[in-house]
Amino acid sequence: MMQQLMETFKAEAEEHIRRITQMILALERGEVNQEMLEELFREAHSLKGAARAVELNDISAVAHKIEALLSALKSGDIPFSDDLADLIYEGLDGISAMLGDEEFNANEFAHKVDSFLSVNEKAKSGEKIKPDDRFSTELTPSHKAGRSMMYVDISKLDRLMERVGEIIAAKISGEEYLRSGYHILKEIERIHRKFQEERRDGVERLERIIGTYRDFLDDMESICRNISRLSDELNEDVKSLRLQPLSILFDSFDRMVRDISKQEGKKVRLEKIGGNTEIDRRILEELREPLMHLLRNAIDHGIERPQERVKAGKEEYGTIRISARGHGDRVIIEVEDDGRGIDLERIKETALKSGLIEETEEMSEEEILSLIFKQGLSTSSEVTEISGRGIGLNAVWRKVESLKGTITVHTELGKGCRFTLSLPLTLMITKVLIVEVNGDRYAIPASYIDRTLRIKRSEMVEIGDRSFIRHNESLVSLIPLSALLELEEGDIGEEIRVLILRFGGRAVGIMVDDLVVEQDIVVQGFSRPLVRIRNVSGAAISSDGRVLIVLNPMDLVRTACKLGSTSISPLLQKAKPKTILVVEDSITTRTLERNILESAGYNVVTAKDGVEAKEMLRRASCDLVVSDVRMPNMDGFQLTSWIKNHPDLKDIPVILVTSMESEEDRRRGLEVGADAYFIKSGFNQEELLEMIERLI
Amino acid sequence: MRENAELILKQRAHLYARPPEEPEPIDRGLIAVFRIGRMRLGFDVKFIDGIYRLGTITPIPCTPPFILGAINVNGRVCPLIDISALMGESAEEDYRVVVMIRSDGIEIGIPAADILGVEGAPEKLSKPEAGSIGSNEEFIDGITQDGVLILNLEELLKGDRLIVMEEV
Repeated sequence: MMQQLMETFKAEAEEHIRRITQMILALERGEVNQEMLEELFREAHSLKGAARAVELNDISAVAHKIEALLSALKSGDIPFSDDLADLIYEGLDGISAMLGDEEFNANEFAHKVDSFLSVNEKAKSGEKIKPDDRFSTELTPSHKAGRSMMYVDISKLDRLMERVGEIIAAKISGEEYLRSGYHILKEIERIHRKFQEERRDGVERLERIIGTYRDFLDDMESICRNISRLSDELNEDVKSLRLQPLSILFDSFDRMVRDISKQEGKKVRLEKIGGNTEIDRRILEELREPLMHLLRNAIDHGIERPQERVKAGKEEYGTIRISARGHGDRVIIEVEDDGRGIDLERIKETALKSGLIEETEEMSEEEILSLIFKQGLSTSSEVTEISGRGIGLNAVWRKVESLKGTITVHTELGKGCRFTLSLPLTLMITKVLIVEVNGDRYAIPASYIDRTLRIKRSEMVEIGDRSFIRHNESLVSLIPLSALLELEEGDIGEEIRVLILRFGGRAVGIMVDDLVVEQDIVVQGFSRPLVRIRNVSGAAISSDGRVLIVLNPMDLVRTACKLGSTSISPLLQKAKPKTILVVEDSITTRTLERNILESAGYNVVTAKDGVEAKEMLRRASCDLVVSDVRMPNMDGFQLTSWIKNHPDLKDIPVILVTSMESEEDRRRGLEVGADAYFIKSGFNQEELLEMIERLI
Repeated sequence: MRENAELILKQRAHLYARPPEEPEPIDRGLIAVFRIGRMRLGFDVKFIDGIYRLGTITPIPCTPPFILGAINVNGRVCPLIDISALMGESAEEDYRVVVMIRSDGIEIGIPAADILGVEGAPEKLSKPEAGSIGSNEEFIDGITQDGVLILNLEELLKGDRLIVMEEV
């Protein structure tokens, strides 16, 4: 609770600091009005009170001193001056530092303020500031009129986005199932036609079932479509929650511009336009550094010293304009200055000298200009403290490109310079787990990963030449990622790292060499000529600039089922997976059994009762039958008997599975020739799979 | 009679004495020639976006051998097409540069060992000998007198030769 209170206070304090800063900056520009002076005092007062309420006494003390300064200012006891502004900024910076758990000597500050006040109040006879109500500074409002706002923990938003990602994955899975449902309908209709031809019993019943089933599928389809629409809308809504106005950045630049221009001895005015343009929070954060660098550059290299400007017939104050506007699905941000512009000749010279280019004859203006973004170019004769520090234009360019944006520059020598950034509104961000196999890294979308495990070799269960592990009271087949990706298989050590992937009701355990890290990345899909790659869904640029392949979990699960799992011995390419016929009238049990068997690498066909089973056996070649006993139309015993007496099918092993436990039934089962008899309540998957393995 | 003959001859001379026809200005494009494996290949310069040093290549699993992998080009993931492997030779180990090719929004990188030079588009192009490299490839326009194979990049990018489209 205290934690939450702190978070709330921090946010509130930052807001107070922001507003005070803006107003002081306005004062420095000469825009003064009485209301603002009152407002300034109130802000400091509120800040002091809030800090006291959460018992942050140091912060409260500093705020108190700032309040004192502002009170004196408000009542005209002290004049407004550069020194006053500096002092207030010092206090604000101190509070920010303390909020960030850094040290700040509050006592020293208090002394400074006290002596400042006594010195300046003595000079009361001096100029008092004359508030002029003609000026009313427009501050970026923290409360939009009529809308109530709320502070939200960013990590909650991120989790929300993850959930939405999972919903979409589930939706896709549902659609897959629906498609299979329609396939099954086709099968049934085919059987129906056959029954009609052969004039069999039960045709009408079958027709009724087909009708019911089709209605069911159609209902499912409209439900799926509805879910699809809702999840897409949800996705858009959540994405928009992540949009924040650029004013958050722009306002923070005021101080910086003021401080640097002072340092450089230049007079600079910062204009901000379009701060209410919104962009994805993540992009916003990433833009901070590049934009700050562009501004520093503009002040350092662009804007001339006041005397120079006047000599050139310009205003003493240089203007830097930073603006933002939306343009379709992109946001355009511009940093423009009316300074001395970029000297193309010097760029050519420097580029030649640094060996970046050989000849410059055929280069257009655009091409020469774009050189400034290349690595290794610097046109300032000395590396000043400001532009030497931090990142260069090349880094700005790379950062913008990594955000899928572009940056261009226009200039007119003597008149000024304009940098234009074009950025996408949002980024598709996916949380992935990065794994390592054979020394290479791959990313797997986290929403498909049930969990990750580290197991010992001894914990693996081997049945035949397949491996499994126990997970949530069931067996999950294990397969190395290297096998799925058709890479060389490495050695498996004592400790094995496993990811449990889940898709479409199936779970597969993927063995990897190492689990590296969980990360948010921006996934780029491949495009022509790589239209669709097996097991791969796209790629991303990792933080070290390399390409990271992002795998497709749905494909991986499917591939795993196709290949069957593998044990430590090398993967045997099976000529053809074995087919098992599952006969069971309960859909749930049938699906469960089918999933278990498919995950173990078998091909599975199903039948709802003995009659269908006979049909299936006639048509498809099956290697084994797993059948329930109690079923309508033809029970398990009759089926087994039929199979064992059929000249072509008698060699097919039959396993009977039943919920009935009676000596009588077991004996009956053996009599009809069943190869094994399992009781559902006592049955565990391991035994079943082992038995199957033994029989085929 | 003699006068007649002279007249006729003069007329004929006139007829045949025409100023030589101006040779049609050939709009010759420019071809950049690269060494890839043991072949020399020519690309029309207008499709070349840039030539970069070949850095780290990330292999893409489950792709045909002529897809060498992917690289990072200005923050974009770009596939690398090994022309050697595409034409049935083994993939080469000595690639040092990558030539970025772009046409109509499709972008690929073709690694090469050496940049041999730029020349005017060839006037005469012959079909490679049957059975030699490139003889039955749609994307090879022909072979120059010097033995440079001219690539039809538009066909390469837009045709089906490079397409990878596989489901599980």
